[in-house]
Amino acid sequence: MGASKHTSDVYVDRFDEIRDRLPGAGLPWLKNLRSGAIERFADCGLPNSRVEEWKYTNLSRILDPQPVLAGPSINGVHRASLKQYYLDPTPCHRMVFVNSYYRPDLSDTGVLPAGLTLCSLETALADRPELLEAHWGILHDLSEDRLSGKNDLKPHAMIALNTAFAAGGAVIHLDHNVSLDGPIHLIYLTTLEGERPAMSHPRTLVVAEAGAHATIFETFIGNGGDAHCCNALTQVAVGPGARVCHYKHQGEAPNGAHIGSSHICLAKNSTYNGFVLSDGALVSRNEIRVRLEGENVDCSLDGIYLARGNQHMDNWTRIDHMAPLGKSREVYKGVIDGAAHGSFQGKIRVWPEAIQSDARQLNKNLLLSDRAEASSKPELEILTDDVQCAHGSTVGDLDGETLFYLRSRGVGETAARNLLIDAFVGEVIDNLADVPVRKYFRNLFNHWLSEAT
Amino acid sequence: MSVSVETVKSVEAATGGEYKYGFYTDIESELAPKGLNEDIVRFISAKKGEPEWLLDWRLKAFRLWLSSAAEEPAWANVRYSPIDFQDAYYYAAPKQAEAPKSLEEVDPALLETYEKLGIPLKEQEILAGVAIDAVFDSVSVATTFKGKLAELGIIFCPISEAVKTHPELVKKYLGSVVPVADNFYATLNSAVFSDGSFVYVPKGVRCPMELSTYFRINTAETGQFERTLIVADVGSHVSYLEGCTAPMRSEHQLHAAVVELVALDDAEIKYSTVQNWYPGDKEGRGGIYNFVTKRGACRGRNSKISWTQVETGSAITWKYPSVILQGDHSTGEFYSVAITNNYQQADTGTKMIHIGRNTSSTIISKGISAGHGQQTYRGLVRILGKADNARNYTQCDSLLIGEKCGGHTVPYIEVKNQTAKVEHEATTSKISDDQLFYCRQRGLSDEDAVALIVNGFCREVFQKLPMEFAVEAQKLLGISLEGAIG
Repeated sequence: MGASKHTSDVYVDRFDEIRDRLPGAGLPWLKNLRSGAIERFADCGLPNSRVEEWKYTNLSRILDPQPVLAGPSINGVHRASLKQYYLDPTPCHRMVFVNSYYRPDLSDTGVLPAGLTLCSLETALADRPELLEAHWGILHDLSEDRLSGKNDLKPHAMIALNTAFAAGGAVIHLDHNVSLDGPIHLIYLTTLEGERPAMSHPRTLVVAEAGAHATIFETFIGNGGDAHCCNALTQVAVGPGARVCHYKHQGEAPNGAHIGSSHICLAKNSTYNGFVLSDGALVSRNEIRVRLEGENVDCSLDGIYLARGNQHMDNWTRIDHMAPLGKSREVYKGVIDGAAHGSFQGKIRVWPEAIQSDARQLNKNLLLSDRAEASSKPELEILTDDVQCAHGSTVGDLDGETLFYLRSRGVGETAARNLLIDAFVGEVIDNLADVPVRKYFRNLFNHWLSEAT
Repeated sequence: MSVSVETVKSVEAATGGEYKYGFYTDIESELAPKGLNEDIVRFISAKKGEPEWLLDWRLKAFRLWLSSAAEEPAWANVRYSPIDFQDAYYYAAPKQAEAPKSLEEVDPALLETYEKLGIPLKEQEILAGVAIDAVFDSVSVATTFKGKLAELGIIFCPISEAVKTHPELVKKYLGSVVPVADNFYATLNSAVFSDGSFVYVPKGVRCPMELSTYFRINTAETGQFERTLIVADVGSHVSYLEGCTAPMRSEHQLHAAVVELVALDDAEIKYSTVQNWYPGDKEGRGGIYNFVTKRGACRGRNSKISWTQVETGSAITWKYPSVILQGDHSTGEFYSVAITNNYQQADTGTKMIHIGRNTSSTIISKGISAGHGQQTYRGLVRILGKADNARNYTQCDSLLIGEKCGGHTVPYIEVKNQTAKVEHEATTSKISDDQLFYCRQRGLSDEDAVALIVNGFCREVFQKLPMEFAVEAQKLLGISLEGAIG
């Protein structure tokens, strides 16, 4: 505890240095929000494994030595090194951020259709501050335990840290009934700050008004082998009848760290399809909170985590059914090799008002080595009776008999194993609706598999 | 199946559907002064005429409990106002001149109490062939069938007696499964435990009858802290039953028991509980706080420990009967039915810790929540690195009756071995309208239909109970759900 307290002091001091230089520092509401956030962070300190939500993740491994807060410096990132992450061949609106700062020189936003606002956080704070004000404040309402009435802010320390420090990111707004042809691709690259590992706090806001339709793709990467830490926060508000497909690739550098959280609010009759694939970073955590606030919402939340070496991947999801007739589907699959540790904590809460909710959750883990480790905590919290909820979780090795069957047909050991791993994970990837996105993840997975030792 | 519906009806008729065991017996009790301090611990120890080592053990636990090392757990999904540990009696014994030598010498009023509970000791002794150790408040009152068991070398006696007659066994195993520092309530229990049962089954002996303990809290404002220790030596087998009741009282009473099971090579222990402590009234006043630590250690190869529990009572239940699978090829089982009605809260489940090779565990948990009841299944399956070919299957189903109740499932699965196979599944739903409609269309009333469906829902677990208990459990189910449908 003493150590983390000390660490949080460093952040507070740093905040005092830069608070007046942050974008939108002149906006009173933002000023209050930021100083409130840093106070909360100072109270809580960095989350440790004694905090239930962070049970499986130890941040000290990545935040010691301390990365420095990234500034808007030029870091020698070139287009050539980004090409491999492009969505092919679809034309799309691409924005690239280095250490969370927007880099127009590396981006291709293309022609923006009427009704679409796509800009950097700095621009949005100057042009449309009311949009940010309306959505940023919502995050305060993170009261956790309705049953016990406990409102512990400790689990949200990293969110508070992002709120205090966020200096860049994307702001996307779709007017009523605006439908985009191509996806919006956001590439967040975190690298060094001078010679030292940088810490960035990108913040993304996506607002789809009633009837709008968009596909958002977020890619988080590092630069070569540089260590870094990315503490990202993405907020998505889906209006009545709107539809958002939201994909994320966590492909940070092998020595990097990724702490990402997504907050999704769904209005009535809306649809949200979320998907996350993690194969990067030494230590990573993906936190997703979805609130089905309106009636008759359809939500899917899928994930794949591919871990090997000494990687640690933590997936944490929370789905709140808050209104009647909501439907949610969740499938998370992990392939864990080497001495890696993959974990899944997923909670579904059905509020008393949310009658006739239908929620399914599944977590499956494949352990490929005798040093690999899997932890799974699927959780249901059901506060009314008229519901259909189920969850399942499995951990196991590849099936010996199936493997034998393939071998007896003349398939080589490695090929047979890869075939089975492919079948295990492929099911999720092949169900993705957008073709270019599916291709992107397919290639990624094939590449990961071919790297197996 | 119609039998069960009939049984429920007849029991309801006899009891008005309310808590059946809500009487208290007017027997003079001997109480220790209220409150908890070192003197009370010494008093309890002295009352029991305990040896020095046990007093030291208790005092060590008490000091630990006082220190900040023992923290009252706050993680469970239950809500209650803080317990004032100084506002309770920690020792209550029915007053009697001398310890009874046989059943005939036991106070008739006491025996009548048991009669009301439906366990006529004498009758059971003869007819059912069940050996019973009845614990009244804190003191073990009568142990039946002692002689017959002694012939086989089986020791079945109050733990306070075992401390004197078999100190070497008690010393060796007491606290070896649930250490003094295990958790807040186990530490408290270690300091102030009053009595409980001790069972030792020698090598190769198969206990010919079910052993049984009946617990009852009678005196007001007392806490009950019983301690049970069962040791099954190499190749032995024992089945043990535990039942609990308490009178109706408007204030809450604390029950913090510790149960330790030890199974050596090829031994098997089957432990069944029907817990029917007073659950509080319809508005949630009164009732027992049931904070219990139960754990078994499969120490030997091929050993097996099986927990079966039917939890219908208590205002708050906090209980996780667990198995530590140390021996290779050992097996752990957990079968549970838990019911929460009115304002009852239960946070219950199990832990299966796989340490040895080829170990397997099965968890079947059925939760039924009605009224304002809140129920949580909380379970841990941990496969350690050396536990090759470990296997676990878990199934948790929750049935919800009424829009104000809650059913929660919190399983933890932690696997550090590639060869492990772990499966968990859980569902939560209400009784389907189709099922109800089908039953009603066949002429069953709403209540009968629900009783029928709920009994079917719990069948898998009831089948694991010894016969007499299964019947009692079915009756309890009906009574507990009384008024839940409307």
